[in-house]
Amino acid sequence: MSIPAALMTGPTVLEPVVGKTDEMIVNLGPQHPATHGVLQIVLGVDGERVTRAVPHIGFLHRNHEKIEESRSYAQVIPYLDRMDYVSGLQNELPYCLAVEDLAGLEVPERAKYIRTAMFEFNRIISHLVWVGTYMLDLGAITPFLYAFRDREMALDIIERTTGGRMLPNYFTFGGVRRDVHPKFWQDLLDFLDYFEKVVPEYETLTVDAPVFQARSVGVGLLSQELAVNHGISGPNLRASGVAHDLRKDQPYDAYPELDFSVITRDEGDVWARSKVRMDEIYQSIDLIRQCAELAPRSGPYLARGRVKIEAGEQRYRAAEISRGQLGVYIHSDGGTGPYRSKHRSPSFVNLQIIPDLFIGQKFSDVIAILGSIDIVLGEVDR
Amino acid sequence: MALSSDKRSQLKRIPIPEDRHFKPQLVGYNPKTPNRLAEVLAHSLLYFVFVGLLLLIYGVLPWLFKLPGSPLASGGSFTTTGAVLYGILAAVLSFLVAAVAALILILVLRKYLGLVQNRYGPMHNGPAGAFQTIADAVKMVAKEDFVPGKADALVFTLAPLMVFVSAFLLLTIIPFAPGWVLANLNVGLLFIVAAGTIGAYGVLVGGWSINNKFGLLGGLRAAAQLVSYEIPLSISLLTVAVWVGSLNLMDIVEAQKLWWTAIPLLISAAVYLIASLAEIKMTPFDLPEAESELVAGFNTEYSGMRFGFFFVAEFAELFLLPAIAVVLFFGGYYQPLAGFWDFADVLRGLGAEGSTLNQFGGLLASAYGMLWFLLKTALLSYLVIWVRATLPRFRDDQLMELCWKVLIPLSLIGLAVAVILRLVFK
Amino acid sequence: MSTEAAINLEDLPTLRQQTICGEKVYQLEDPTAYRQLCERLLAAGYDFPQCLSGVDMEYGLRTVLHLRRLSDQAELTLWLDVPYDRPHVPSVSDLWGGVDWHEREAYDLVGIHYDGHEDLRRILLEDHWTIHPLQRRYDTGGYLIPDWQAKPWPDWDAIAKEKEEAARKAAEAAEKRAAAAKAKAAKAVKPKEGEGGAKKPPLSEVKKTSDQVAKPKAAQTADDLTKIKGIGAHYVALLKEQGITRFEQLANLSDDEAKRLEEKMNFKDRIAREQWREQARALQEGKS
Repeated sequence: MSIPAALMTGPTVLEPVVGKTDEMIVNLGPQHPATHGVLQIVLGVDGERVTRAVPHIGFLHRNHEKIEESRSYAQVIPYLDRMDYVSGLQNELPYCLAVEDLAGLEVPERAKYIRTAMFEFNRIISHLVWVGTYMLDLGAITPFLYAFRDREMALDIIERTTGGRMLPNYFTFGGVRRDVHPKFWQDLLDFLDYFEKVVPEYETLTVDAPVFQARSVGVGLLSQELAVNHGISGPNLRASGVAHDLRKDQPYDAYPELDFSVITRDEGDVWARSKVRMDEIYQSIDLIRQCAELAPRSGPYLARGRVKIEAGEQRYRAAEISRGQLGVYIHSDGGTGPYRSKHRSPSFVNLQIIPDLFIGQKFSDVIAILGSIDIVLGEVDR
Repeated sequence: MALSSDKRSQLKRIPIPEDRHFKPQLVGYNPKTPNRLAEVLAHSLLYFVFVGLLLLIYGVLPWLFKLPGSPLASGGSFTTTGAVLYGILAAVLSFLVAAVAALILILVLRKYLGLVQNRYGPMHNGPAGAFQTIADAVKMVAKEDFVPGKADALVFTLAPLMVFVSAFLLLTIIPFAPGWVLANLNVGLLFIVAAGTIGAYGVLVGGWSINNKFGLLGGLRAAAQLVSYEIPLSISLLTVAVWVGSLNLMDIVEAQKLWWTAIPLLISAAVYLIASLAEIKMTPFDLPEAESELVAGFNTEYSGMRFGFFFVAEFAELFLLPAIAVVLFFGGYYQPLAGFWDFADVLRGLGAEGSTLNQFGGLLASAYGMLWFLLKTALLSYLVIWVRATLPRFRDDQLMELCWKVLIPLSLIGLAVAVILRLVFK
Repeated sequence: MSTEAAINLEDLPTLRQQTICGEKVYQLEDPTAYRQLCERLLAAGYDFPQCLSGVDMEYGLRTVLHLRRLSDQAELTLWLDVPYDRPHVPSVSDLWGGVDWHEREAYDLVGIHYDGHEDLRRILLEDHWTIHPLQRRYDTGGYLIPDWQAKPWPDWDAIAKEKEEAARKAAEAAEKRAAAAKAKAAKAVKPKEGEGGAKKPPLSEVKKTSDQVAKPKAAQTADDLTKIKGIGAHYVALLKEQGITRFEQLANLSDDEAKRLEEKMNFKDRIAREQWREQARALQEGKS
């Protein structure tokens, strides 16, 4: 098989357009404070206005998918943590769900609630990181430190149970890897009691602040049609008025038993995305409280069973993580590990939209829009 | 080796400890049991140096020069040699004053930001981190003097000096106490505008000379911002001139012995404070060096002491622009309501006329005025830092809108108010 | 509301429908039909592109497209198999913007060419990269596996029949088992409860069947071949592949067999030089 020469092009180098005013080509990244990792966006700017945008990814590529081909099903899970290192626990769930579906494992009731509570708790942590780094993008330094102060406490609680802070390797097929810390539920509730009082502070500093509103209202408008057609998911999609949430639409674990509604906003701008995330923090607090109330305090936390998957079986399972739909496609050849596992990471898909959103915007707004999409480059490049 | 399941069940189960995770300990400084007195003393250390330098320049040096039998002075004023010598010494010392003011502000900014942001700030170098900025300065001086290959070397070298000199020039006309001013210009207000503008050029050519796209964008942003905001700033200065009837800063302070200018000219004072935030490029107006957008803006390629000049100039301005605000609007070196009763008058009245005690009392009165001046300036500087810790950044068009659509009309209204008030009351 | 019934599937060649693990799968081998089907699916309301993956099936390359309809949350999977020598698939990135980068990734990692894609460049790897690392002919380090051979194109009709047969047999077996279990339950004493509930949760019903298959016992136990001077753990594994695990087998090798073995395993006449057969014979005698 030979590759056509036309497809073997070199890296895209934009040539500046010379007209009435000269276009300047600015390399936003790969080393740049606002790209949240190593992302390169080649921008054509006319003064402060962006005329073209070409994103380049792959600087963090590790090819997990190739490595996973030579690992057993259980050995894959630590690699998942390292995709989206901000919400490691959440990454593990769709894979576990897919393997459980394929192997026909039943998850014990208690494990379901532990997983759901952990999942939502990780959403809080992830949104905290977003609040902090996003406000740093917009030039406010204080929310970053507030957010990391609270994230630190939250990570401590996760650490007490899983032993890891960002890379916990905790969920597994059939439940969770080990029992929760004896004080786990009490820790959670104590933290939430404290945290609930702090969230309004974040709101005052972000979505309610006049300067923030001046920077965000009407900026980076994403229409409903464009969002759906581009497969945008998570808060970005819901801020454009589409009530799509896999926790509701394809419920997994303990979500069918919990009482909640999908948060949407119709504006579709940067402010709406921020507001949806702030509201989701409140929603997660509520969901964890429900889990703590409903969860059985004793019982098995892991259904032990052999993972034997027939050749030719395949499954695509997705879960609604803090950034959107994280999907895993597993194809089995009957061996001890996945023949092929493909990860559909939300940031990878959400990032595709940026050329559409950037063109015609101010340079400062480019940063605001990029931050509002909430990408993690470890997940984009995998 | 894998254990069989019944063997595994025979193993003793290790209980999960209550606190499974490892808690790191802070080394060298335990914020849980701080020595408050030591902390305050440590942080006051640089402040004492600063006050001491000011006293030396304005109080002790002239007194030393005028000692009986001195060849440098005759009949209460300097000889030519004495004046030149005093001028050189004062210039050197006031350079130190600017540098120390910047050092203090950097330390205070970091400590105060730490307070606002629920953290400790510098705490490892010296008692409670008091020597952190000194260590930073040493590091900066020790760094390689580096010029990027494609930079315009001459302009690259001159730009930080222009910014620094502009900030330093402003220091010469600040009256710290009655008579305590290096250059008592009768066109002081014009000098403020003139000296301040040099800094804008420095930033612009600095951003251009480094041949970096982020630097260019930052430099252009800075030029647009600084030039625009000079208009409301200058109109506010003009308002004061109209109200007081003089361009001399000493005269302006003297006119505020009873009532601060800020009371009748509230609008102008507010406009001046906001515009001066933009002039010193502080959040929410820090677009020229917007870290998350332009990496470091106009000083992207600067390092070592060249960057240090920008840095020191920025913090010197953080002291100087509030200081000018205090001179123009908040009564300068007078204590509040000094027109009714002034403690400085009490100090000046000590002893018989011409006696040593009387001379000492005069020095004390000046020092008392200086302390009031520094207190007010410090409060305004804190205000600036507080704003910086709280607000996000404006966008460039919003910045311009704020200037041209809000501040300039407001400053013109302020000017009209001043004219009317002057016609009515004076 | 549009449903699957409204989609015209009649005139699409090579289309097979099946349900795998609860997922509805449309399997195709004709690229034109794939494009037509995608257009019809978009018209039928499948508006949300979930995922597009490339899979190397060892007989060819497969594009797997996962679609979702947001109005009723229906999910659908499309397979399109193309041979190695013509890995061309029509791009659907103009229908769903969301598969744009997925197609670039599949091109980059698996080597499927998406015709009609606006900007088909490598996305994760460097532009000058020459291999497609997710193809099975490359190992994890990116090196070509020397004796890799493509598998023959599967006969899908036969496979479908086999599957049907297997499903029928499984259903029968399940019926029998259920009947047996009923009879057993009627006889057996009720087992004690409340012991080790947390430690040993019950296995899932499905898994029980596969677990209970007994392994065939080895006819004769293997000898420790490493006792022979010149044979290490690596060679033990290689010999095991050739079915040699005991001294007896090694000792009874004829010259021809030994030569063939050497060629196959790249031994370069070590068997004669290090006298494996003589050593094995001695060890065999010592053992017995």
